[in-house]
Formats: sequence, structure tokens, C-alpha cells
Amino acid sequence: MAKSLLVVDDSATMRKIITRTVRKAGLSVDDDIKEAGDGNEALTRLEEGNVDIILCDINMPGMGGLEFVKKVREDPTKASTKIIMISTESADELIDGVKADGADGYVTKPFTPETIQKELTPYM
Amino acid sequence: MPDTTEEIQSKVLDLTVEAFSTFAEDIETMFDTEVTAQQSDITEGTPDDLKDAYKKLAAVCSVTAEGAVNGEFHIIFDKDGVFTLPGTFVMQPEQVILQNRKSGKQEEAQEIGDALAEVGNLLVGAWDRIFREELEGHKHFVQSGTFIGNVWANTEESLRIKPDEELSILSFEMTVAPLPPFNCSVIYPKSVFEPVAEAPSEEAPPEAEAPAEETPAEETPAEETPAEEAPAEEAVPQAEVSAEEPKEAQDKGPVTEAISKMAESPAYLPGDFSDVSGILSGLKAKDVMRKQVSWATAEATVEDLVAKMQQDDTGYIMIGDGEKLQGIVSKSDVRGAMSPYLQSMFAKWRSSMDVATLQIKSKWVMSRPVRTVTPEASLQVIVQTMTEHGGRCTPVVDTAGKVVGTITVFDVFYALLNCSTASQSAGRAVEAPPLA
Repeated sequence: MAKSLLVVDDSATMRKIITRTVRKAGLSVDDDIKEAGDGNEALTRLEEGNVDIILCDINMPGMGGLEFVKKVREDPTKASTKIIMISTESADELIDGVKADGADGYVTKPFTPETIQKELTPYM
Repeated sequence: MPDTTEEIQSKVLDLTVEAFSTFAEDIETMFDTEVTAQQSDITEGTPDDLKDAYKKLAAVCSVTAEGAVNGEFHIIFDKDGVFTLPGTFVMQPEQVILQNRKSGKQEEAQEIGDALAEVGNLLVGAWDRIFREELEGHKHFVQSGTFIGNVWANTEESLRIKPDEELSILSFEMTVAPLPPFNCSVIYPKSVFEPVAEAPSEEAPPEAEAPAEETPAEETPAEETPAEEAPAEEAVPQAEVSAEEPKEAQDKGPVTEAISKMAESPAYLPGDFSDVSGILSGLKAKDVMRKQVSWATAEATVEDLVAKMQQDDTGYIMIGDGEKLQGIVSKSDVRGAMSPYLQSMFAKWRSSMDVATLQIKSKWVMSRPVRTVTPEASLQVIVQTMTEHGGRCTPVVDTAGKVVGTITVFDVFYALLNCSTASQSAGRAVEAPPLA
């Protein structure tokens, strides 16, 4: 069954690049990939329901990715929603920290369709 | 860890060359296109020394460093770079990037400002990896601003450095194939190389990234228009330039030419059409136009346009908000924008770049300005409009500026055919076709 995706990034360009790369990866995802510009908007999208996997940037104005992960993990009804962080930041302490907070995966930019496929396949 | 200013400077300049190559490789990886970065110069000087290379329109990505390198430094891109890198990120067609490099202004650059911020983001990521691996004491880089405009109107605002500040300048020639090269330079104020006292060691928690999240990417407002903006009549908008380019939707072509000849001389028509002049002047746009008009926004992709054309069974889509017309896209425009490798017979040679052509935006392929006619315009005027200005589809616009229909050359033919058939049937006995 096709999975429903939510892409969270403050840059419309990067949301488009991520969406395009996910499609190129050939994964079974819904045609309608949802988008949000920051953590607050992403929480609203989540309330609307039907999101299986979130691809989320870290550095965003408003609610950033780190706070967003914590908020989602505070809600037991969203326990099955997978969160993959996408960022240019590659410091181990940051990656370990955000995974400890509840992120399921971490993709460092630059990414390719193969990178995305490898990270998302376990959750498909 | 390097101890002196000279040691830090030397190490940082070496790593900068490596970081720039990594940045080029990262773009290559993500966008499946050949990218190179070659160091072209290394100098010491003041902001004035950059004036020749970075005239008027340029972009500056500012980066704040913490650790062994401490303070803010900048990467400046020339006008060609302003349009090439962000254009590549948003998959603009090669000809659009080239056109922007030639005649693009601040307005066009601002349109892709979001992509420029992403260029800076990727650049910071690449540099951070290299410096973390190879410079002891490096903590991190944070993208601290993006500027697009005339850098020289106020360098303290654009480059955030004083006019007499001493700088180390490392210049590069970058190429994103198949486009021509462009120039960029890394500008280090010498103060960033000064050794800083070691801060008490503490592990940076994830929250330490918060300042970066609060730093707006668009530090500089759009009002930073270059002081030497060309006069209005000299500033050739992209629309007018593209209107001069040979595009199928604007070409006269044999079909429009044939209509033109009919308009000039009814004798050109095969057979006896003695009242063609009457038909051309008697029929009006409102009599022959198609009332069903297909619309798409300027942001719609080629993929969206293909779906819309199939759904509405039309060869022309009006670009705009449903009333006000911005441009027009024909089936041929769409076909020209799409990679031929998207055809099923070429599937096994198809690359991701071919698929990416489906994401080209309608505003990049549409024809503009669009010549329109009023509902009361005669067929003669419509034919003249098509002939003189090119195009095989003419929108019909009412006095309020609303598009109420469209007329194609085939609609004109159909109207002529209908009228001549009616006239023949009314005036003569219908004859049986000759026996073979």
C-alpha cells in the first residue's frame, strides 16, 4: 500500500527537490505528497491525518525540526509516524541527539534518489 | 591545532579550495550534472579590489564560523553565477538560464532567491564536513545571510565589511555543464584568522543550532535595487525578448500564411468563393470562437500542462489567474520543453534529468506578450493579427480584459468552409461527384 508523505522545509525550492527525489527513488508513495513550511504548519498537517512518513529539515524559522520531533513524540497517537531528518548538518552529536529525541532516520545533504530509497525502504 | 594567525590563514585557504571542490561534487551528486570549481586567483586587498569582477548585480552568501575560524566571511557570485546555480537547483531550462545571464535583472534574480539560499545551505554543509574533518578546533558554520543586488551601493550592508577592511580573497571559476563558466570569490576578513582563547569545553546540545533557525535567510530586502538601474525603455523584459525568439506558437508558418493569402486575395482560394471578402468581414470573433478556455498558473509544471491538455482536449492553455492573461502555451511549446527520452521507445536510456524536464514551469515556456482580439473583431482582423504578429491561437478578450474565448487557425478554416458550403448549397444545385 502506498505510504503518505509529509515534507517539512522552510524553502519551497528544497521541498520541491525532496519531492522530486522521492519520486525518482521509485518508492510506493501517495501521488499527493503533503508539504509544510515549518514545524507549526507540519503539526497542523499531522492533525489533518493520514501521514506515514515525515521528511523534516532541522533549521527552520518558527518551530524548527528539533522542537517538532519532540512535539510529535509527545503525542502517543503519532507513535507509528516515522520521522526522517534531512539537513546539511553532519555533526555526530546533532544526529545522535535528534535520534535520541525520537527521529527514526537522518539524511545528510547532498542526497540522491538512492540515499532516500535506502533510508525510507525499511518503513515502506 | 594551528596557533598563529598565519598558520590559521594558510590552513583555511588550503581547506577552502578543497571545500569548494566538495561543494561542486555535492551539486553534481544532487542534480546529476557535471560541476567543476577551479581556483583562479588568490589576493589580499580591500572590497574595492572586487569591483571589476562583481559589477552591479551579484549575490553574497554570508557564513558565520565558530571555532578555529571565528567570525563572518562571505562568498560572492557574479551575475552569471546568480542565475546559473539557483537556476540549476530549480531545474530551469538551459535557454532560460542563458537568457537571464544575458539580460536578467534584480527582479528575475529575486524570483530565484529562495533557491540561492539553498545554494548557500548546501555550500555551508559541504564546507562544514571538510573543516570538521581537517581543521582541529573547528566547531561549525552557520549560514547567516543572503544578499542579491548591487553590492557596491553599501558594502557595509551587503558584504558586512568596512570599505577599508583588509581581506584575503580566493577566487574560483565554476562551471555547471553545459553552461559557460562564472566567477565567485571567498572573502575572508583577516580578523577571522586571529586565534581565539579556547572556550570552556562543553558538548554542543542540539538546541545550540537554534540561532541558525532564527536567522532569516533573506536578510536584505528587495529594495536593494542596483543604483544604476537601466531606464525603463532600455530594460528589455524577458517577455519581449522571448517574443522575438522563433517559437512555434509565434511563427507564421505555412498554415497562417495560407490564411493570410486568402485574406489578401479571395482568388487564392481553390474553387469559386466569390464572397470570401464578405465572409471575412461579416463574421466576428464571437461567432467563431471556442468558449471553453483552458487555464493554468504560471507556476504549473509541464507535467501539469500535459495532463490539462489531455483532460480538456486542447492544444493551447492560457496562463494566468483564470481572467487576466499572462501568456499562452501551445502543445508544441510543451513538447519542446520535454526531453525526447520521455517517449516510451527511449525509456532504457532515460536519466533523472530527462524526468526532471516535466518539472519545468509554464512561465518559462509560455509565449508573451499575447496578441488578443475583441469579440466584435471581424475574421479579417483576426487573420491579420495572426499573420502580422504570429501565433496560431488568438485569445478573445472583452472590454473588461477577461478572456471569453479562443480562436485557432483551424476555427478560421472551419468558419470559411461552413460559410462557403452554405453559400454553394443555397446558390446552386448540388451536383453528384464525377464518376471515376
